[in-house]
Amino acid sequence: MSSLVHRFLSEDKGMLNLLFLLIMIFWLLLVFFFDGLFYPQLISIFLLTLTYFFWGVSSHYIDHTLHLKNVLEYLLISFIGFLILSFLLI
Amino acid sequence: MKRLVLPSAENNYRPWLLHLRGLLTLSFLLLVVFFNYGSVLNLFSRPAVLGWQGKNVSPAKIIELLNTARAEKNLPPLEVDRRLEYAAFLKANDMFAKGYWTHRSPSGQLPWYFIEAAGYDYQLAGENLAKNFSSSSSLVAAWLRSPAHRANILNPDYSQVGVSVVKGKLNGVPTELTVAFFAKPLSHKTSQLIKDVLAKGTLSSFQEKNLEVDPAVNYRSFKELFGLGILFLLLLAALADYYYTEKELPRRYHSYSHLHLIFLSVLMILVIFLSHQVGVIK
Repeated sequence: MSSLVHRFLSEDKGMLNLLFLLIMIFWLLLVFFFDGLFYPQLISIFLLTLTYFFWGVSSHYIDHTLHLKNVLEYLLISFIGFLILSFLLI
Repeated sequence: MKRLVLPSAENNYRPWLLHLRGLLTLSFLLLVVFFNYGSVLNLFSRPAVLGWQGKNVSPAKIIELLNTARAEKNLPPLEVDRRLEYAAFLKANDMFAKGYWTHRSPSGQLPWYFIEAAGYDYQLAGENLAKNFSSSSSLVAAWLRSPAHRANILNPDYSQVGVSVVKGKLNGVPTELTVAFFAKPLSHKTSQLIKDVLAKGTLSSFQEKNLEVDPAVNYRSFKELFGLGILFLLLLAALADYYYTEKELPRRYHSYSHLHLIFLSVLMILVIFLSHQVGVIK
């Protein structure tokens, strides 16, 4: 866990990581807050998965390692996450 | 299985589930199971329990199938009682109005509250619930597979039934609810006995002794367990990938396994704390 935190903050893009993490936590809290409300919770889940997608893509972009393969990878994991959350929570 | 979640030479030191092919396969499986669950089950010759809006569920057909099941056990058919039908209709509408799908309403009302509200005097009563089935036959088949529901259907003491199928939005989700009330009416003699008991203030103990409640069939439970299983496997794969890249390949510069790990952990937290139905057959 400590290595994860260290890695998370010590990289050049540590601030970017922190920003995206905070945004993700914000959407996470909104998903909790809107529990039982269909559309607000669905939108929060969508924005949560979108944040993860942009986080991954922007990290690769900054490191000059962005390829179509990476974009597809984040897109698919986001899609899977969205499907699971929307079906299990709503 | 090992190749799916653990990095090794066979999967180029990346869990197969995190490869594009693995992710595409998972996406496809989730889409098939979530949107076409009934058809998948049909492939294995199991009765369909399709989600979303049922189009072929009708009270008359359900009652016909219930009586067929009873006839196979040499039991007399259940008579349709309009008051029980109305009670079932009231219960279904109450579930839509208050956003629940259980035998006890959020305000604590038990099934027989609706039976009594419909003006039906019962000696014995039971309730079966179901939602979002594709056909009457799949619904009754699901009830018959569940021992508790089956016991209601094949209870020789029940002589009357009322079924209602109501469409609406349950917590914002288009849903079709089916409520079936089984009952044995009070004879005049018994009715008088109850009145005497009531006069003595001990009716509640009489009710507890004679009423039966059985769990509702939850067609969603398979989907939820499937989704949870996929999420668990992905999290395991991301954890293994993170561990491998950190411990075994410390010089692998561009590794983003921690992003997957964080995202999937967030999903797991949400599912654990917010999913009201995972692993629960209501």
